Amino acid sequence: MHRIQSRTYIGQPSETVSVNTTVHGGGQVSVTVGGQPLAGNQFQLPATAGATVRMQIALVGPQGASCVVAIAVVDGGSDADFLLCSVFNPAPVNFYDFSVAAAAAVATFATAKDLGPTVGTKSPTGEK
Amino acid sequence: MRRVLALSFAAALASSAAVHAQGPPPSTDSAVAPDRRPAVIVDIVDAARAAATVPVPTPFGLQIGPGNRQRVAMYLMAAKAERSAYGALLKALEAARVDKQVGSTPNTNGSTSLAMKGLAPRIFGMAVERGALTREVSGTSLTFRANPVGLIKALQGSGLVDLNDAYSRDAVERFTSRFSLAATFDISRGAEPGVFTGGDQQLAAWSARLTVINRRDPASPAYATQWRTLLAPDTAPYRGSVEALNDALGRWAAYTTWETQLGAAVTTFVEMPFAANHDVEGAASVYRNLLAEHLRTLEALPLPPEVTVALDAYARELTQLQSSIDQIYAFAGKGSLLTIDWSTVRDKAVPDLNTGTLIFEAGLGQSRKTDFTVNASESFYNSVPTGAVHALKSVNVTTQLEHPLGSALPTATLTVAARYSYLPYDTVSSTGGAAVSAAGNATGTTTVGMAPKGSVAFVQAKLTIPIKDSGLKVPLSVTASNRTELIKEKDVRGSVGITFDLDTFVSAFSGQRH
Repeated sequence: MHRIQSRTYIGQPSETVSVNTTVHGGGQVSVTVGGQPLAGNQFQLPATAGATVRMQIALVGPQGASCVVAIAVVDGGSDADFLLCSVFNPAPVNFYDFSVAAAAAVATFATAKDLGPTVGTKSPTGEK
Repeated sequence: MRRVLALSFAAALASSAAVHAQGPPPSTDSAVAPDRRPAVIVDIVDAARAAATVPVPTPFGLQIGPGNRQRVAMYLMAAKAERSAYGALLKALEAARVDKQVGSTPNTNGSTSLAMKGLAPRIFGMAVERGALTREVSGTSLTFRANPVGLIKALQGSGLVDLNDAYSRDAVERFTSRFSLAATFDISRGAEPGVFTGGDQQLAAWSARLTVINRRDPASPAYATQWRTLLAPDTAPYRGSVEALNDALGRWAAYTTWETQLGAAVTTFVEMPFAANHDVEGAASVYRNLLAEHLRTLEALPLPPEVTVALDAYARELTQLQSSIDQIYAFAGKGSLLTIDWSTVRDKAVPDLNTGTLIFEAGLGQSRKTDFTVNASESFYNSVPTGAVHALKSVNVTTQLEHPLGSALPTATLTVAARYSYLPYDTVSSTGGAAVSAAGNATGTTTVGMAPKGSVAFVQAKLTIPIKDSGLKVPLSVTASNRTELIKEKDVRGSVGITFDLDTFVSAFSGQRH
């Protein structure tokens, strides 16, 4: 799976996506994929090229509650996000869009990003 | 047995009227809405700063972008705060706070509290309480209370969010946050009565407090169930409104162009230098300036109708959600609290009076609407005062019930308190009033009354009326006692407290500064 832009990814049909959330400060988090609560910390992308799926992560809690999100495998590592309950954003909800493309197209995209194949040991910064 | 009944209605109401006469309280319907754009920007920068300390990669770039557009939406609302729904929401968000500590300890002259409240502030609390509005001149006390860690962080420029975040991560800071210190200055003392100088002569009392049990932390696992209710299906409309807003902004071409340009600028001028030097504050400073510049550009763009509709829906849903959040804070705020307080009251007429107090507070009932407080204390002088036979002054037990009148916020509260004091020896007590010269000027001396050994009972009823959105509360109290020598309202006496929560000021100041 590759990162197209912030919170937007492209992956192969049926590719497994891992999502880990780490909450601090008394927050509570919910993760839904395609509108359904995520059971466990993994889900599979649709099997059909051209399909899309959206993941939603919502955090509630006292001011200062936070949630670190790690999505893998992205560009050989993981992509991170951060939600924080603050004065003017007391209940953040972030959205992540996943598009499915044929394996060949995904490989071409990876080459274009000059990353090589998705398997690898790139530093888990999620950044190019 | 003598009885005394101290009434303070007339004076208190007169004083209240005087307060209004001096200038209107902040109006909720002010024609000019406060500019909260700087505060929103600070909120974004604080979030980035928090992300940087986790750390996560690109902590600044993460704050605004596809899939995360609530913060920009809030800025747009702040830019259009003349719309009543937006202005009301922003005000409600800003008013949401964690905990408060106000008032001087009951042993100081100007206090209007019979029982002492226990929860210390995390940052800074100041109260000015005025008494003796009748013939006797009482003290006007100015209390500074600080949690050492909170004060240091406030001075360092940390916002409240930073503090909460730090407390949640750092066990040492959590522990030290259990301590607080306070100093009360009586500004009627000293060479310039009525002028606060902060000098030794005006130092009327100091206290140290340790919170032993605090079940009022909304971040406690004890409140996880309450927070989880905000993720229940019945709050799905809120999340739906966020999604609709995110998508509406994403379909606005001018917005996505703006967002891309901002993202590129943040990468170049913030993230790349930050990756090289890890200077969080330096990066935050540049980020803040970038945000201010780009957001000004954005707010000049005419909003498409679809975005306006989405913003309206988001404001509506968030307002409802914030109300639920406020309820959780209120519920948590009535959790059990056990504190130990040590205070020393300084009075020229008698030796310093030390009091050790054990304070327990808890909300009663399933909804915890009634606040129950019980204090047990022992007071003794530093030395045997003239006229007394022993340094030990009294052993006291105080209990208090506080119940809100009505459900709307802010609401008036009715407080009923009783205090029993046992005096094992004949002793003395400062009446707390400064002597008055013939010309009516305070002379800076206080009077001392004899207090024969025995039992003293007080009963007090107090009505505290908050002034909406001002941070001010006006308490009106009636006190009855079987003996007069220890009661502060010796004669008919007005006691009007003006209680001010400076946490809001600290945040506001922080916002303006940034």
